[in-house]
Amino acid sequence: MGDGGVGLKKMNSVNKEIVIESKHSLWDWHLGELWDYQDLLFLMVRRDFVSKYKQTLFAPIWMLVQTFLKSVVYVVVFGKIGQISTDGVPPILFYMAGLISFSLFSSAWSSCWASFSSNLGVFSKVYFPRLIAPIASLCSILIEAVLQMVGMGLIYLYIKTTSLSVGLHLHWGVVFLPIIFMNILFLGAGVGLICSSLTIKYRDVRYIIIFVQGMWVYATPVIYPLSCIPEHWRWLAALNPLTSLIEAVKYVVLGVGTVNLSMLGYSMGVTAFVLVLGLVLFHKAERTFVDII
Amino acid sequence: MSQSIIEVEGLSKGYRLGEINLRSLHRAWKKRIKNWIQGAKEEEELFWAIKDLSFKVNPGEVVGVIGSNGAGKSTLLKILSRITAPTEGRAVLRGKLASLLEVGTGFHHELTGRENIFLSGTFLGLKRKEIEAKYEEIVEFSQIGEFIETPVKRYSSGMFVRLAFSVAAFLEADIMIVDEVLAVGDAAFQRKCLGKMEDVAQSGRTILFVSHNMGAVKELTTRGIYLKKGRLVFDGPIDEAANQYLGAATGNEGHATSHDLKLVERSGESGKRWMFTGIQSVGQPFLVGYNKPLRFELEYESKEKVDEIQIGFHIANVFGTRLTTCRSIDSGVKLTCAKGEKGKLSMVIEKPFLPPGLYMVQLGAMSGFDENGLDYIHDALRFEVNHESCPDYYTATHKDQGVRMPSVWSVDR
Repeated sequence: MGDGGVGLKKMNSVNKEIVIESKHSLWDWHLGELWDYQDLLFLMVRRDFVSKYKQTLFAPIWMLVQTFLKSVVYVVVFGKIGQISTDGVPPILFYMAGLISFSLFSSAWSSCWASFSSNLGVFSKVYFPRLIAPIASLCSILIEAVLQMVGMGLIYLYIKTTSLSVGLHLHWGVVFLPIIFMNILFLGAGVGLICSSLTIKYRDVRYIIIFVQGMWVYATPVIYPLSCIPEHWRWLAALNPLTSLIEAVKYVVLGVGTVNLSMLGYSMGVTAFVLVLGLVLFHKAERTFVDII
Repeated sequence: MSQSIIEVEGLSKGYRLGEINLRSLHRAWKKRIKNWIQGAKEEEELFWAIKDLSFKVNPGEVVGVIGSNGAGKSTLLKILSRITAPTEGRAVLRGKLASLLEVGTGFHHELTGRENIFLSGTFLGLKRKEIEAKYEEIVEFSQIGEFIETPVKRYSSGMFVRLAFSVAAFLEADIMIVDEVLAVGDAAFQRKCLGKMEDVAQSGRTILFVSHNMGAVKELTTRGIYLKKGRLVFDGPIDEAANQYLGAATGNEGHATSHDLKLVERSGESGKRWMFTGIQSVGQPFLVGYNKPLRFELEYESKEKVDEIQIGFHIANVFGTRLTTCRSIDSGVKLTCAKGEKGKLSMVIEKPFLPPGLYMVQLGAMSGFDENGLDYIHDALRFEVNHESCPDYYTATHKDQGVRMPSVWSVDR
């Protein structure tokens, strides 16, 4: 070998010092370190996709078909049988927009929540910034959501060109769609990170969370428009930070929805708070979770 | 050397014992509230996996961490690898760290060998470019060949281990923490890995190496840190550390060739009527030559009149797995002792056929067909069979072969 001298020289030039201590600061998140691990992040995202669709013949199609079929079911159940209004836009698009946005939230929530348990194998054997794991799954989720949006765009174009009667129009605010999507993603991530640290020790919390997660979709305007709710009760629906974000998605994409800036501001504030709290708890938990889980 | 590359100061790690349930929650909160009201700080009762460890390692040193199971070796490595945080104390590592606590970290069974080399490599701290540069070498070292584009779930376990180790073998770091990874794969590949480890050790890296394989530890390292029940017992030359460790199991420090058995842990009737009082290895050092005669003397004392005593002399490996038994009755020896009688028994194993390694002597005595037995000592004395005197050392130590039964072979064509 004989490259040991090189190794030592390298060490002296870089002189990276790792300090391991029993105490730690709540705000010390080593975010700079994440940059050094971008290769790992990339490969983890790649691994998620490759392993998910290995041995499938029509890999990316499944991603699109799932949401589409679910929307079709919603059209039948809530649209035809339930007769719930879709604010006058084609129900399939209405439900797809809602479902894609909501699953962005719920998938981010679930995957961040599972960061410790699903990565226990590597977490207990090697060090890397633990935050890489949830970030990698968020990247996968975002990519899937974007692909689903593309699929929805195709259906949108089809409807637009075939039926002239529909008053569909893209709002100029569609340029803000990435920001709204990121906001939804971060909200889910924050909630998920909080859940991940809460469920390490007492697993009871898990059952409560699963219930809340299942109910959340009904507290959010996914299958119904916010305009369905009587005016004097809307403030209650708007307490859910996801409400205005999903209404905003529908507003910029389909031109329907009830949004105002103060509601959006509130959602962003809640997102920031939840995300910071999630990061603090996550970094507190990551230090010793292998001893407990 | 100017500055030490690893500095450990007062490092401790405590674990809370017991299950997590309503009772433990209740207890924890009661204590918390009590502390809050009284303003007192009552410490929780913890089990200390390691306690108050302090040591320094200079750049280029190769250090073996030894100790029995539960001595805190793995905990120390986990803290230094930043997998879990210490309860007290601190450690400073100056340089890039790579830790190998298992073979195949980060492997995903659905991915191909090639994809796994990259994934596992980045998990272990390499950059993609670094792996690309070494890719050919890694594949060649692993002897995987054309299977490299096949998902690893279709690999045999041997192939998997070879590929996994090959990734690890090409890690570049200033400090390497290695835990027993050599205990895998077939003998030929193990020899190759050991050779690679030797290269790394000689290349000036700093290595912290944990293994139960004393042969490998002695070969690779120069300095030994001996842990016992979470505390540092000895820090110095590896030979001395290893001897302390090997001797310690019998309660004696250093080379133990005889042992007073009056107060050791025992079972059966535990010597109420008749007991072993001592064991001595005659005319041979602690480290015995390969296949050289083993001579022992056993001292005994009879507290009552006991008839027809048979003695069993068992040889076990250090994990307590019995490998062979020598019975006094096979030489026609049956003792009949009067009350208060003391005496000595001699025995010799002319050709032990034990492969190099550390062994444990277990002693049993029974009278007639008594189920319980008069006395039984699980760990009476230890001795080591010298690997240097063994012609095929590597294949012998790396696979637990057990006793080599003499046999006669011929080829029939």
